Amino acid sequence: MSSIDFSRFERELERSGIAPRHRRRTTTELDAHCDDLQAALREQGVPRDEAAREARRRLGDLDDLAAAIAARPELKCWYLRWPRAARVVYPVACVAALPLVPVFAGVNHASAIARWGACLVLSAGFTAGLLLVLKLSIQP
Amino acid sequence: MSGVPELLLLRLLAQREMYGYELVRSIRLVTGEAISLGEGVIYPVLHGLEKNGALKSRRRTVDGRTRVYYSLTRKGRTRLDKLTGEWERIQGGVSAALEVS
Repeated sequence: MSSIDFSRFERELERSGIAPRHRRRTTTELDAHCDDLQAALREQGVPRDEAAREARRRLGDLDDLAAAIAARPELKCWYLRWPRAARVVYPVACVAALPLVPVFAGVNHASAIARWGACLVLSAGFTAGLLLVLKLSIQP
Repeated sequence: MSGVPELLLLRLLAQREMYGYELVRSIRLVTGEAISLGEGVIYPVLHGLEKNGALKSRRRTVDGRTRVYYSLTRKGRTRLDKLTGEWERIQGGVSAALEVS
């Protein structure tokens, strides 16, 4: 791993609407590229700190690079490339997903729902048993 | 002139697949350091070309390091031929203009 902090660079790409897949991949490739640069410079006998500085310089200014990436619409999230389609698809997808909400909620809280169900069954069984005993004791 | 990096990348990848650092190093060698890019700049160009179908990529692990290798597609070869033709036309025009002056 190189010594470059790409967090600001990633935030800038995110702010520009670049798709997460391209953000992650660009950062990974730049990091590896910087590593390769440093390794090549150290092989030439350049001291470690100077190699890191030179690699950083040769990689280019990250702000300029973020601007160059942001200028490429094909790398943006689909809803930014086709905003009209997004305005139609998103509401329809939300309505279509509504019936699935209880399913997902149930999956995420399965143990709590199972305990609640078990309590319901036990309490109903207890109540039924109590009523039966009362009925049998009342009968002449 | 803005298509020069794209032309160089496609031309190099027409020979064999390469990863980013290898491409930058090859550009320096092949052009005799006449063309020197801010090295990080090739990645948006590569990703844009891949998005447009001119390149394809695959991850390879070599010596414990994972790298993304790019190679040319058939659509990329068509794009390369087109850019090469445009470059030769521009080059011819500039040469003619220089001769006149």
